[in-house]
Amino acid sequence: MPHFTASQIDAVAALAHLRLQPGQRERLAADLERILDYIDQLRDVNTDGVPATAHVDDEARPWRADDVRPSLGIDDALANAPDADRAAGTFRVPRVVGG
Amino acid sequence: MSTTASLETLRATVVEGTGEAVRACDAALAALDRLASLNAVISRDDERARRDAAAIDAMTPEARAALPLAGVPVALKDNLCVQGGQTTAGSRMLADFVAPYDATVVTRLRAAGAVIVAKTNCDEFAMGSSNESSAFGPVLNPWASDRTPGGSSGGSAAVVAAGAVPIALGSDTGGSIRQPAALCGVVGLKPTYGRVSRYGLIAYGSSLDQIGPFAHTVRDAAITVSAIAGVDAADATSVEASPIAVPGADASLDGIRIGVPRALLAEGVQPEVAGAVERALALCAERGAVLVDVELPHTRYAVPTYYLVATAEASANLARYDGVRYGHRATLERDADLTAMYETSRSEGFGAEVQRRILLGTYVLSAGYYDAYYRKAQQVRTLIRRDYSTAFAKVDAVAMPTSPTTAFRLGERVDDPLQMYLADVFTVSANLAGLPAISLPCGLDGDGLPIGLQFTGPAFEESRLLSIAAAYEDARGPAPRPVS
Repeated sequence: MPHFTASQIDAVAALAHLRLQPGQRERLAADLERILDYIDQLRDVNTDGVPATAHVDDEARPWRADDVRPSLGIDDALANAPDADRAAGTFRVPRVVGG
Repeated sequence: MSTTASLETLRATVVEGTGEAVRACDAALAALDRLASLNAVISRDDERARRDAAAIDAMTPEARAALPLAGVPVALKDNLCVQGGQTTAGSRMLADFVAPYDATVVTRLRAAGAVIVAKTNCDEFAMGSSNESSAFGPVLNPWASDRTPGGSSGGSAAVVAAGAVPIALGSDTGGSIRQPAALCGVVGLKPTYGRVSRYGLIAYGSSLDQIGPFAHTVRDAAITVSAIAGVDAADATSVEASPIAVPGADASLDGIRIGVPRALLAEGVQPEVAGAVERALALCAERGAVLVDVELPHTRYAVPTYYLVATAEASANLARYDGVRYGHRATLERDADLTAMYETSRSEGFGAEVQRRILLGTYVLSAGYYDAYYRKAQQVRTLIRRDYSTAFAKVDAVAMPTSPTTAFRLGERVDDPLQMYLADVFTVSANLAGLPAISLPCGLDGDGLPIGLQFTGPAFEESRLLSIAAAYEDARGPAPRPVS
């Protein structure tokens, strides 16, 4: 059974904020189908009762003090912004709500 | 001074000489000029490099003698932030990004006296095994210009192999230091997860990523990793562990137990690679090592497990590239809204492989698929870790090839992502288990291309792993270099 229908790949792309071009869409769907077919071999592994590893570091890390410390200044933070109001110290984005 | 001098020789010259750091820096820059056709470098700041070198030369010989990397030219993979310098991660998304701070490894390299001479080309956001996903074009292998150098740290491997610099740094999420080291005939070390701070490394798979060195010799790699290792308040996953010892002249294989997962090597390995690894193991046995059969039964599932864990983490990490704070923003229609800006910017900024991995990662994390894919992969990851724990109860290190093949041709696998992923079959399990692993040259194939031998050790036991690798290296003799 295929993993993807055309509408599913569009739904995943929307979740990832990617806009697929028509040719790219079919190509990616075919690639992902093959990759997922390959990945399906994991179903052969018995994992009943096996805990998940999210991270190899099993040790509990000590908490650090919640102190205020210097961080990146506003000018530095805005230096790479594609669009910013540097005087106001803000990033500028297109409209968020309907106009 | 030869640009192919070992780190130790070069450092001694700088410490004892006058103006030698600048001379070494100029020699490295000139060598990089000559090697421009490899496309291994994305950016350079020659003025800064000469200034840093001059500062080393201005010190007293005693002050220089305290620096483990005094005046040593080093190249950095371009996913490591150097303040004030372009840092692209091989992506169009970050083509104009100027890093606002130094990665911790950059601070530590400079404190150790190293001089950064170049930022090297890599697969886009470190996603690839051939360097062909870079937005800046592929790197060519110094051994044969029709071959890939491997990836994703291909540029760093290539500039070391070609003799322009004695050491370079890369990052390794699924083999991105070890595989290009193997394909370019140099030493590459992935430290234990947590050994080296990831602060200032552009993130790909955060539970897998580690920074590590390329070098010509195991001892040079050991000196370099010692200089960059250690706990760092800026990376909560960094760990204070016993310091890494540089192997002495007395490094020995006598009584060392080396595990060989024979079942894993039975298929899919280029015969010349299998043969060279067998000969290397025979040499180890001749020098007193005990070869022990080990089973890593779940390692055959490491590639599918890796491509679920890594892409899931990548889809989360790369969500930050939204065209707002940094990175590419698309030119928009007048009435475009915020979502259109995100989607257009990301689709223009990311290349095909990065988009493929983001989509796969987003899919496997999405509602209804999480348990079947991501959680399943995390459980198999546990089984892979247990396999290694079982093996390390019997052996000091596990040996296998680094890559199933020698350097493949440019373009050969670029249209077949699954085939490309299989290049990682022997490297990804060390990342999934968080273990240190080293690749070092063990011979050439019939086309004269280098073959890599990989040793994997228990977590935080780099000192023993490096000692074993150095003892093999001593027995093997000097590795061949590409003809320039």
